[in-house]
Amino acid sequence: MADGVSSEEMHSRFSRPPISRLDEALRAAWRLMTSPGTLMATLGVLLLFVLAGVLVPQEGDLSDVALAQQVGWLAALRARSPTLANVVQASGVMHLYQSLLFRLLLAWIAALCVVGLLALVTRDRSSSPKQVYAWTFGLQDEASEVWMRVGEALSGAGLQRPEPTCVDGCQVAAMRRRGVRGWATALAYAGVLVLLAASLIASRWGWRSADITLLLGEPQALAPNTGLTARLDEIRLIPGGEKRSYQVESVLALTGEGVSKAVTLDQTNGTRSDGLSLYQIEEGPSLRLQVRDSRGQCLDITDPLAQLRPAPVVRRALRGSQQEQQYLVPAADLVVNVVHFSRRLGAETTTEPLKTALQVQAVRWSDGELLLDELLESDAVLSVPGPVEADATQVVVAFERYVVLRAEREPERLVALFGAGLVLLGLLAGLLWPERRAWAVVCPGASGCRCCIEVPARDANAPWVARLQSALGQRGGETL
Amino acid sequence: MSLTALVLGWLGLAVMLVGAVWAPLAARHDTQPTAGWERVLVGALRLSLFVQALALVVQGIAAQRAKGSYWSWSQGECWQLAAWLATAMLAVWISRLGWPVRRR
Repeated sequence: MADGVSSEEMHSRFSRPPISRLDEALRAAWRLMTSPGTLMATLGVLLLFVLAGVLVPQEGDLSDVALAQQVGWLAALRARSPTLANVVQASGVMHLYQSLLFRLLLAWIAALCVVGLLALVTRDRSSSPKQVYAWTFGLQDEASEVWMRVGEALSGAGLQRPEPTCVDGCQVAAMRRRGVRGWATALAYAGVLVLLAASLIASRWGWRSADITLLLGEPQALAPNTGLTARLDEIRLIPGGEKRSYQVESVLALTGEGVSKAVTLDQTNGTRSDGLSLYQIEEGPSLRLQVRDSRGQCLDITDPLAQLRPAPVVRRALRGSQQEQQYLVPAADLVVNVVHFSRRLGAETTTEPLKTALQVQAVRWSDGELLLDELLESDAVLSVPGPVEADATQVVVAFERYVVLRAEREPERLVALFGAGLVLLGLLAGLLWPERRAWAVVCPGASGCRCCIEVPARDANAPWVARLQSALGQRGGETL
Repeated sequence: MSLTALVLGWLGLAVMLVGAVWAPLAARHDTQPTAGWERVLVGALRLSLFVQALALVVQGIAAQRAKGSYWSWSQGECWQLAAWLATAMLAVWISRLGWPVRRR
């Protein structure tokens, strides 16, 4: 029956006819989801989303820094092209990774990973690809003996033993690498699934506080439902090595129900306390301002913009450059303007510490007369002349530091690390043990069996194919 | 961005470049040079993918330790992921090209 059959005719035996419409639909879906074209298209769409994130700053982790960066970017765009800025803002491209479209893409990627995983861990039943390297030969044996011989040859080349199925009077089988090497690349798919699961766990059971700015000595609640408060007790500037000129460590006092302890944070390491992770995500200079009358009594200071209650001491984090602040001291008939400048010493390397300078102006509130204008780079006590010398008021300016604290509950942390490890193992397996596949068809005839072995065209010269041919006593083949 | 992650990221891209240059040289004595070329290039791309993924993981671990967020869709992270995705697309595309000239 199969005597003298060409390789191309043998190739057609790999296509099993569908047994029902459902079978046909399932096969079509499987082919679609395992095809390289689908994988490429999915990677392409994801790449477009990611490139949008390169061009437009995203909300990301909703930190103050990320939001400030996004606002600054939009302001710069608005200055150049107000229309484009409005379009960008209205299109929602700045919240791309929270969009339904992106979530659907992630769901599709998860589905592809499930199918990819199943395709690698279950027995291969796929048809051979369009471009193959094939060779046909005849053996004067029964089909079962032929399969045994083919199986040994395949096994010697590192492939699975065949489990043939009958198709149109012939027996066909598909094989891939034997053992762990055959399915280890599936770990990459499993890793992506675990990473997606980690993000679900984070959104369902995770929690993150708003960014809390802590000034020396001021307690702040970490979150209403935790009952925990944090107070910045100490800031340590520790001289570093070549990489960084100094390391900033903050010592916090945590107090709450049954909790009272001190924790130390720095810029590179957070700490865990009572189920919460604490991170020092930002630090910088802060201002401490006091105004004293001629008798040394502290006067109340009002911040008209912040709408806080008048206080004898004002502390403010000095963020950004050329930040201007205005304080009112009604008892001394004074307005104190403070402008913050920050620049790097020498501006030669970014590892040098930020130098902070303050321009302090004192203006008489009642008539607007400028009484004082000083540029400060260190703590100072400035004397503001009054109507008579004895009425001189003192403005006490001190440089302190602030830290921005973030508290988190992160049940997904280890899950994500596990997922990343799986992805790396899967990629490493793909690197060490590249995919190796073969398809075999055996058609019994009057004078023995006709066999055809097919391998992907790119493996035509691979050593394992030479071993396989040698074991079967064959040489040469043709590319279909 | 962590310095180690940055170095690994660039190393991954360099591996890809070296693979592209090395592939035609390595396969010049092959009986089917295009198939050999594909094998070398796909190998280089796989190595590049692994190194770039390692860079992403190192970056994620450093960001998690410092800021409590292993991934925040920052522009630097998006660049790294975009490079990985482009490399993966290239690897898939080259694998499915079918370098031998005769097609069914």
